[in-house]
Amino acid sequence: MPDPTNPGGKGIADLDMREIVTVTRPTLGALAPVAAFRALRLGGLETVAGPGLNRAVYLAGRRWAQSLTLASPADLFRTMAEMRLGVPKLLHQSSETIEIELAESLSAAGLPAVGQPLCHFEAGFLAGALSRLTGGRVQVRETACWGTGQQSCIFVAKLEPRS
Amino acid sequence: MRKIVEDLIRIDGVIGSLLVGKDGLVVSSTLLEDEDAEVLGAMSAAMFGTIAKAAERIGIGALRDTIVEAAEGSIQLIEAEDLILVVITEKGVNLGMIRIEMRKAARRVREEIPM
Repeated sequence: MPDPTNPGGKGIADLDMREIVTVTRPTLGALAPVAAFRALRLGGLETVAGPGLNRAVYLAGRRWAQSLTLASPADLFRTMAEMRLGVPKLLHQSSETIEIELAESLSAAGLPAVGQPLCHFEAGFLAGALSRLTGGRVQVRETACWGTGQQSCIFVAKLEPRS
Repeated sequence: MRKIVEDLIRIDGVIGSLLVGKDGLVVSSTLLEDEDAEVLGAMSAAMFGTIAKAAERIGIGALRDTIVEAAEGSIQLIEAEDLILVVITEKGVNLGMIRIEMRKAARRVREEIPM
């Protein structure tokens, strides 16, 4: 007897990114308040697992960015602003690292200092997007954040050679 | 750190070992695929973090280690300062002996972390 609540037999883990980001809200549209994201991220996940879910949040951001079609760094920056993840600005670039400042970050802008960086989702998003653009592996670390007392967030992307 | 993780995989019945931050970032791993290590690192930190929060909430203090037994093997996690040492085993291994070796390894990790 097929399950009427799940006729396709698909579980949450089987959803691909295209399905995850499909939004059918003809009246309200695809955008939601920052408060909703933070209630989930900081009010929910953090309460249950502390820092234990930071990497999972990073990987979620990375997976999303890897599913996007991005033509250039300028395209990435425009996309991040359009998606209201923050306002990115390139600070420094070499063959090995890229330093990006993100103003008005989704995860942290306006929060009081809590002794740790908080923008794991944005860091993962940058890692996924830069990986798409460079074709190599990219690790991104947040070096400054509202969570550590700064007024904007800074990310350092380490570019690893293509394997 | 690499040597500590590699020494653990030499124990009979151990099929994988890794060292991860409490935030899930992989420090060292014996798993062949980076992708596997990355996902398992994130899952290990999530597991450890959730159980640690539960222990704190229940009022039994800070979590030190945990063993997860499954049908085909086990996962053991032990705290080492800000890191978590993770070992994956086959089924039917001597869990107590592996736990003793992990405690020794965790001590070595603590000694290598600069004060």
